[in-house]
Amino acid sequence: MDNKQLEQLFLTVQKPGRYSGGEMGSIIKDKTKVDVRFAFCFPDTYEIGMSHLGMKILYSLFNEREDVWCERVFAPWLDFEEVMRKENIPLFALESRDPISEFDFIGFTLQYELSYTNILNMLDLAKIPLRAADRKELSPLVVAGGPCACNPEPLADFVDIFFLGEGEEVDLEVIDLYKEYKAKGGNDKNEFLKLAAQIEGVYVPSLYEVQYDEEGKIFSYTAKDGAPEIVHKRIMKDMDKSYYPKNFVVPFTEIVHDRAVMEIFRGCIRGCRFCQAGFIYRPVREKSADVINSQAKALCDSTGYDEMSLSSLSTSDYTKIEPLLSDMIEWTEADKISLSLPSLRIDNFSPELLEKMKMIRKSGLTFAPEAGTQRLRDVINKNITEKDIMKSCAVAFAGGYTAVKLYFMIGLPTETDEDIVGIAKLGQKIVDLYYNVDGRPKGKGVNVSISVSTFVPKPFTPFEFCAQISKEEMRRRQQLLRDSITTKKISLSWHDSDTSSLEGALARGDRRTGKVIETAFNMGAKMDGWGEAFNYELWLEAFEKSGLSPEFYANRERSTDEINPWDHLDYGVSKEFLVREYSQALCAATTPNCREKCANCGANKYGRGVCFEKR
Amino acid sequence: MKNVRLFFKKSGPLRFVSHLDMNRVMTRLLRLSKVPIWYTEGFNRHPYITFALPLSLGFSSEYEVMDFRLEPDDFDIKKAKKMISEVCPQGIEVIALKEPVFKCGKIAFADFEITFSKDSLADKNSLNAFLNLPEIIVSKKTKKGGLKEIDLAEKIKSFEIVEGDELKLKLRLPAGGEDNVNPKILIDKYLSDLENSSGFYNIVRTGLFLADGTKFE
Repeated sequence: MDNKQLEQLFLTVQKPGRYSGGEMGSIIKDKTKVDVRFAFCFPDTYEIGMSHLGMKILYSLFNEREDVWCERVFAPWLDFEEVMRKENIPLFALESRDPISEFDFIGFTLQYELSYTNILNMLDLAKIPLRAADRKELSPLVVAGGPCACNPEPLADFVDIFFLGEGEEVDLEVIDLYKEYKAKGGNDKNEFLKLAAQIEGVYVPSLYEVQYDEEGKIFSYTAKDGAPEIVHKRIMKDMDKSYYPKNFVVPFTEIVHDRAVMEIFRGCIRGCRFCQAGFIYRPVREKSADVINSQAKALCDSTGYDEMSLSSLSTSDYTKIEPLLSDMIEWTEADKISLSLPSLRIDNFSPELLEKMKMIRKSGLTFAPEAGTQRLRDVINKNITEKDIMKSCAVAFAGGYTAVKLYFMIGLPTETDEDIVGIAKLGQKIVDLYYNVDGRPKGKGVNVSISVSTFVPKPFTPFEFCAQISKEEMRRRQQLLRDSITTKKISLSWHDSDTSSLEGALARGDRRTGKVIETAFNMGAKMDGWGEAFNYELWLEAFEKSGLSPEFYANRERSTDEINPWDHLDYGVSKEFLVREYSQALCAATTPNCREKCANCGANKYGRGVCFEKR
Repeated sequence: MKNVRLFFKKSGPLRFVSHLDMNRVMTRLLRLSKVPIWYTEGFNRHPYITFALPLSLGFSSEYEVMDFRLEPDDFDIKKAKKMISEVCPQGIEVIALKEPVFKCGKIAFADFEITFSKDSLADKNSLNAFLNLPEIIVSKKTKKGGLKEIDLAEKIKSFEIVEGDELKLKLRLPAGGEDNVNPKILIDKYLSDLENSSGFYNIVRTGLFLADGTKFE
């Protein structure tokens, strides 16, 4: 099919700009002059994938090299997928429009469990066998990284290589190895995989044998052919020296986060016990303010964006946030760039910071108390008090805000009905506070919006041992909360509990759950993160057909000495630490943050970051 | 501040960019060019830009028109044109930057060139016969969401069929706030009347004109 015909087909579907490529900043190379072609696949739509910072970093980093051409690939939306299948168009990369089956590497980023069927769908659209064992040739190699790679087992049957931790170095080391291997005339996939497994941060699932006991729990993991018993994640030790793109691909069409993004640090000092990101990205490593400032300016200059957000897991924890903002405001004001600061914490949200933010565009204020009572906030180690919440809201109201958004979770370990009712009570207290604040906007009402999601226990957190609550129990607790809210000044919204249940089952799945994913895919599952495409009943059927139960993975309390599917992977935090934190949680005892006191999680072994800051 | 008018071509990947998205693309382009532009004074300051006439998704254009304001107003307009040209992506080509002559509301007609693919069943005779029909009734969606029957035959200001390697049709149709006809409706009607229609066609907007036929500048 020629380009003209293909473009004609773009016009038959919604948002053709998703497929046409040619955006400013996209990189075109001569394919005959590169040694390695890498298809960077984001297993969701263009609008979501193009908003993802990790992809921007790796895309630019790979393409800095003359011998590598990295291109972008996204999951087509349902309408274009139908066209592709009907017209027999194989999945192509946006830059060259070449079928990705011709590439050396097909790399997926694993951001959320509900994108797993999209991975299979994309391989299928690319006309590549789904199972790694069925792909006999050396290339294309299917590789994957990202946060969900910390429990890669559900995808172990489909992926040749997982990259653990941060990809900037390890990805290129594997690309180099591949190039060398081919240059020497090598053409044996298994031989190559054995060599690759020697690189730190590389996990080759086919080199590990799993045995299960009679209850279906894991009995043992055995490494073969010289693969390491424990695979360690990789991190960038010096963020100031770590590569950051000077330019982004700037889409023509609107995407979810259509702005320049500046990363200010990795990791989080807090250790909220439900939060996987707070553990797997340890230790905290900051970029210095000068580096941030100059990289940010360069990025705005090259993209033309008039909006920039500072990205991290908890922006107000950046040690020099106020001086940084002062420096940045100097040029952002002159260049009419609005700065946004997502992920602010309640307890260090100062009037000074608010003052800075008022110079920045006023957007909504969002806080995440996560739980309705102090006891439960202590269980999850959220380390904020009701006083903090009230103080921050008072500061915001006095500063002219009339709306705040609060995030909560239900189904947290040890949660009681009192904790649920506590969410409504806290909302009410904030409403009452508004009417008692001097200097609040005159003649305006307040809106407190409460957004509730369902807790999903994740690997490498102290709650990795916990049972997720059942669907029936989710429903009951949701109803209880709904009944507890008595004012229209509080608006309540939910995340779908069915998707949380599935996420719960896949997040801590083992190798056997791969069969469930494949079965669900064959039954038509895809775009599971999208309400209009998600079908929970289908998934339940897929579990049944595979002879597995979602409850075994999601709703079962695991003993702390059970071997988890991810226990042969090392993300810096030790299992002893997670067990310790879990027992602390059960007696509602908090753990100080990394800057206050080291909790001995194990991440100081990298020799860098917050563990070595002067206290 | 000084009103200026940018004339440019839109093609290639920009064909797939809707009018709404074009606004953002051009805003970023102006920012990238570093041409000093006037920003609105409101709370949410943004560059003031307006398009003379929106272009449908999928069309190319040889004559797109966008107004914005220079500040300071003595900024060299030739220099500004050069600065914008230098940052244009593939698919946007600057033709001219000058002071506006007419108000955008004066636009009454637009010219289109429709090219049929080689495998299309469209041919000169049937196309000629179709365009000379006394009545071409199609139903068109109204703004209120209903359907309205309109006669396209009376809307066609002029047309010319060019035979060459590929069949081309040049059309002048009403455009602007008063009356606006999308050529796609006309072509789709023609093709739907043919049996076994196949192939595809491309539409390029080639010019904008006032009621008296003067070129819009």
